[in-house]
Amino acid sequence: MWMLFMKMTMNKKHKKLLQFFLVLLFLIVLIVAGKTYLPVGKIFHFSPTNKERFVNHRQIHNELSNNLSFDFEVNPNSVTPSGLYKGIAHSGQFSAKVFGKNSYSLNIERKVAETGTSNLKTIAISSWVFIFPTKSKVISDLALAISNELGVNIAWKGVKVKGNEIPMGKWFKVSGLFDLSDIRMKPDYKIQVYYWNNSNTDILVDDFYIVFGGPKPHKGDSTLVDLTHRVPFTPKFNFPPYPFHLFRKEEINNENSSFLIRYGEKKEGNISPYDRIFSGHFISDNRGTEDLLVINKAGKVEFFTFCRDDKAFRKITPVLPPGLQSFFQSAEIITGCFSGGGTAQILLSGSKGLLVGEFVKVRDACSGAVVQGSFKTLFKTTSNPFHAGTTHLIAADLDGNKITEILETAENGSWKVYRFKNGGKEPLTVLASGDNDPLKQWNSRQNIFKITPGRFLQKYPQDILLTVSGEKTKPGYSWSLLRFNPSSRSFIPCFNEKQNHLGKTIGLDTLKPGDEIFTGTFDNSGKIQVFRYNRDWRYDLKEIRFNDSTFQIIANIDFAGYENDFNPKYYEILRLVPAMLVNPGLISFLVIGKNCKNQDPKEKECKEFIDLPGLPGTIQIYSLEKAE
Amino acid sequence: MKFTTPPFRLILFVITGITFFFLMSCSNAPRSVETVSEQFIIRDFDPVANWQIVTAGNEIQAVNCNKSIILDYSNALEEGFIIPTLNQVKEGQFEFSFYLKNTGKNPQKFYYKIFYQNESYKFPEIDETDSTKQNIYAWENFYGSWEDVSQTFKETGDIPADNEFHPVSDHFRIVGNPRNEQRYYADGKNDRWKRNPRVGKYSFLLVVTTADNISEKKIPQGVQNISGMENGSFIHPYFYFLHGYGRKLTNTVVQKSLNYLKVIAKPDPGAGIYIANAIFDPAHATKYYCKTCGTDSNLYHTAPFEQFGHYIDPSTQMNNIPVIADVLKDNYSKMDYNWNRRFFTKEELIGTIPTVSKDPCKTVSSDPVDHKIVIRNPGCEYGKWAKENVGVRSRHGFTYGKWTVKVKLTELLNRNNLWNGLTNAIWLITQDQAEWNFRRDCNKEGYMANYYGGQQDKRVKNVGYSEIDFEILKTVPYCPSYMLPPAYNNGIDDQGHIGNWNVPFPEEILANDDKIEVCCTNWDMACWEPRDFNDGCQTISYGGQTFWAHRWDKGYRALTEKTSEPDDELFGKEFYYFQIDWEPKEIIWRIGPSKDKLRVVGYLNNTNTSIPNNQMLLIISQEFHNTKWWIGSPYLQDNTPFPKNDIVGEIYEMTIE
Repeated sequence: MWMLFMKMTMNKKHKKLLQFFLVLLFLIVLIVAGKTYLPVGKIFHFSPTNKERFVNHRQIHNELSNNLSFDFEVNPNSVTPSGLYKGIAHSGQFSAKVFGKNSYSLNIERKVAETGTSNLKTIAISSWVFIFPTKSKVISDLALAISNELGVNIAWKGVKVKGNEIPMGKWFKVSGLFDLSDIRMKPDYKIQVYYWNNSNTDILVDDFYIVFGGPKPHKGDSTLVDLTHRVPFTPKFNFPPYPFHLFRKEEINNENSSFLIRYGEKKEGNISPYDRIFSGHFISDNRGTEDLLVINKAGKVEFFTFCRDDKAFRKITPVLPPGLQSFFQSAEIITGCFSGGGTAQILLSGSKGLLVGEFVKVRDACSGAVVQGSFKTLFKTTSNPFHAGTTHLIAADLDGNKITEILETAENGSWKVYRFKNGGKEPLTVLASGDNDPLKQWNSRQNIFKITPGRFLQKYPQDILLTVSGEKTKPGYSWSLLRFNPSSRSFIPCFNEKQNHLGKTIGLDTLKPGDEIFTGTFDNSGKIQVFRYNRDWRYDLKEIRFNDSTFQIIANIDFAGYENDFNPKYYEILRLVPAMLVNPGLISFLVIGKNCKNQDPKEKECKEFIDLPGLPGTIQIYSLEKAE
Repeated sequence: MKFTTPPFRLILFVITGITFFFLMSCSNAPRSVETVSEQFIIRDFDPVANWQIVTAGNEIQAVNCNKSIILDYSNALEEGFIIPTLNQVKEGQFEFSFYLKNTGKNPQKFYYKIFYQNESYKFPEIDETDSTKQNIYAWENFYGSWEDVSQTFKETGDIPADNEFHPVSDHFRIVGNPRNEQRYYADGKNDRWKRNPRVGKYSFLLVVTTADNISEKKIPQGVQNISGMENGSFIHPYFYFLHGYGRKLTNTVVQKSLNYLKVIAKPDPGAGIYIANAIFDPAHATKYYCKTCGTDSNLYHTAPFEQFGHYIDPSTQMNNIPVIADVLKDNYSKMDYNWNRRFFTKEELIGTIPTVSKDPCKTVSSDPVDHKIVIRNPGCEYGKWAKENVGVRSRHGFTYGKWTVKVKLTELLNRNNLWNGLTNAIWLITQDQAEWNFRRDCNKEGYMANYYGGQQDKRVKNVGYSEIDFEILKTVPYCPSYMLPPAYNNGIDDQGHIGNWNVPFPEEILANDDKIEVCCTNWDMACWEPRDFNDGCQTISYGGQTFWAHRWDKGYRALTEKTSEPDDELFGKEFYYFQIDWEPKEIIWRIGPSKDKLRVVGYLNNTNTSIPNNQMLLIISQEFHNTKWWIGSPYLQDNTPFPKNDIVGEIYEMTIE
């Protein structure tokens, strides 16, 4: 009929014009209907518009590598971007508008490559939502869309916000967790989060938050202990879990601060974990507790001694000969009883020469009066017998005579053992030397290694040397124990030939050159205990015990008695210094914990520390608690 | 003049009513209620004349009073509860009495029968839509008559027509399985304990009639003998005489007592704990046995509680951090939690499942001096890591009732609001899943056959499993569904940056930091019969409050509501009350600091969930749940330390009324 009418009433030109307008009208209707009813966001990826670019490039807070958050805040003095609403916000002043049917909020977008495919098994999202009071039925979603390279959504998921019980006129939280494990993510895929309003309502959203990936599984392969069948636990040599032994905080009355001495306004001893810290009977009586000698990066020398009656540290002002401070700043320093007798002496070796000295003993350091400790030079030479800068110096009682010897190892692995004799014509005499250590670990051109002296094996009365080394060109580490034989003037491996004179490593824990090894008498049993401290992945302090072929892990070490949450193991930087600080005859740990304000990934050390409210810097003394 | 003509009937009814009204209050006045029939008048019906305890609990010589009686637990395990027992009245039965005046012309014998019914927990006798019909569930009501059901109406002996009232008295007692239903028999013995008398208020119905009504069988056999069925169902005598054909019988007086007898169960927590050997390994049996806990025959008969051995679902296996700590006392913090969950390797974790004690009586004790039960989740040590559940269960089943407990269960959060991993549970569980304890038929889809089965479990018309829970733990609400689960950031194991592993909880979690969730659940075994049965979140209102009920899917066997409450309020005080009010058509969960200050924290009814009608027991327990059961929980069980010290709970009082 229509066609007939057309034929009858219109000429050809009019017909074409009418057809054109009809098609145009149809298209307009189609576009309007599509805009209103077609959920484009479910099918296609939204290309970022200008208004969204600031979202994706400037405003997103990326606190952690696994999350994004956005609060829609912009400069309040500039023109409000069209997608934002000013005046009602969950935080700040701005929120995102989602007004009317089939409307979309500003979105957050990330490329899969930016988050890592392995980090996308699940995604959790949340947003705060405000719905203007209305009688219309609310139908909306906090949506997550994943689109492929062509911009087509391969997954669309939403947290439905609909129904009769939706709060109106107030902010409420919407959150959800999506399992994406069935999607094969590609680096070019894009993830978008936005809010979709599919009802005739006006909605504001604010504070988007996205967490990529669910809880990460624990590091490692598999759990070793299975008690589900009620079979009793049998410890397996050197395999976890290990018991926990505790070091308990001693009272040093420093108001739990980061100062060793804190009494009202008095603050002293803000010791940095990067300072050089030595312990010994420098100024105090050899039968009492040891003193702390601290040399900071500027070469400033400080002394601290613990007053047992006050349960607090006191600072002793060192009096150094003129010009010595710069020597302290640059020299390699070792301490020991080089002359015997128990008094701690200091050996400084550097480009300026070699110096051995000691501080004059101080009486009544705890009297309250200002106390000074004068430095006395015992030996000084401008020609350094050690190859400063290319050698390692180790102070150790290698022959068990309670006099500290000095081991020098050179770059090529050659070594010399010196003894210092105060007042002699040649104060430093070479006791022994060699081109190599027996196991050829001490060559620093080929190896990374660390030598730690200590009473590692009870059967030897002298310090023996634990060397942990790794070849620079190969993975893996080896370790050995060497003892010095005065009669043959050589180092002898403690382990037999069957194991190539090297220590066996059994279990999961290996010794590494980066480890710190502490030895000493930590409890009243009188036994020498050994602790290994590693920070490769986490705080990891363990008590270990060496035997004739290997080392055994005795226990994990944790701390107790600390204030609030200030467990030393939580600090980003934790320095442990074993010293006989509060109990004569018993070693405790001086513990310095710091958090870094801005860690430069390129820098090894932190430039500036921060006192976080929940974990301010700490300096405390912890002593071993009797094992339960 | 005939008293049976309609105007006189009306006048008599009004007079009787006014008289009843004045006598409703407890008094010592003589009883003069008269109910008139054509040939006789009845007055002074006293259903429990030899029991003088009024509801206030004190004994007074009073008539026309509401009275109460506390159930005697002696022998109840095997015989079922008997009301009253020989320990309570010397005859071991209630004496009821009434006066009868023969208004006929000749001496004659009259016939009487007494019925009782539990009024607190019943369905109305009449159908809700057709008052001429008996409610299809009325037969489930607990009613009875003479213990010997074959004894129909009793004869009074000759009552002279002397215009005088003559006393008639007799005895009865309330016992379990009053209709002698065969489903409660085993090996030819009527296990009356399988259908114990319900707690709550009992009414009494006296029916007196003349010989011709008996001889001419005008009263159906199924009413005279309540064990009889007609057309496959029981005839409820209350319906028959008060609403059905019985009310039209001539020469028949039906008098329902205005006063009630309230029955209360109050098991004494200090009366001992019995150990059911079937639960525990006999090899460990006797080590911790004592006078108040064990398996001896005295405890078997007298102990109202037994140690509960939890069913441990093997799927609850978890890999627990190897930390032993007293979370409640050791100042355990969120930072501790965050570090411990991030910085242990798999090799260091302990593969374990929650356990139950190997040694009965080791972790439960009954204190006869303070009349309390003490339960404890034992602390553990290196190499003997365990998260051991503990609980006690009542031994005498009931259907319905207000189950109220006064307890001091362990606190769940410490001062840092860290969860210790425990769920405090006060819950009802089916007494037995055997056929005798089946729930009523589910006529739509049926029940899921097993408590523990998955979605593919078969559906059956009847099932014996039922459970009504208080489970109180640290978790999150499930409703509205748009807030589940919260967007947690679990951090990464980067010790070099504290903010990377010590990530705070979302603000909505921190807003409820000091609160625990009181989870109120009815296990309806996914019966679809209720009108509004559904999955997801739905609201239900009660007393001006709106509760969100949640069911994961339509095959999920339980419907749960959650209310956030402060841990300090519920478990930080000397004690707290928890009540499950299990009614035929609804379940109401209440808690409060005292029994008269209970508040509603959960409500479900038969429009959205199938209310169980079988016999249940009460369990009070402290359990280590796998948090996989509790989606969205901020703290995971795997990351919660093993307990270092015993975690103690105390049970002071349990009342079912």
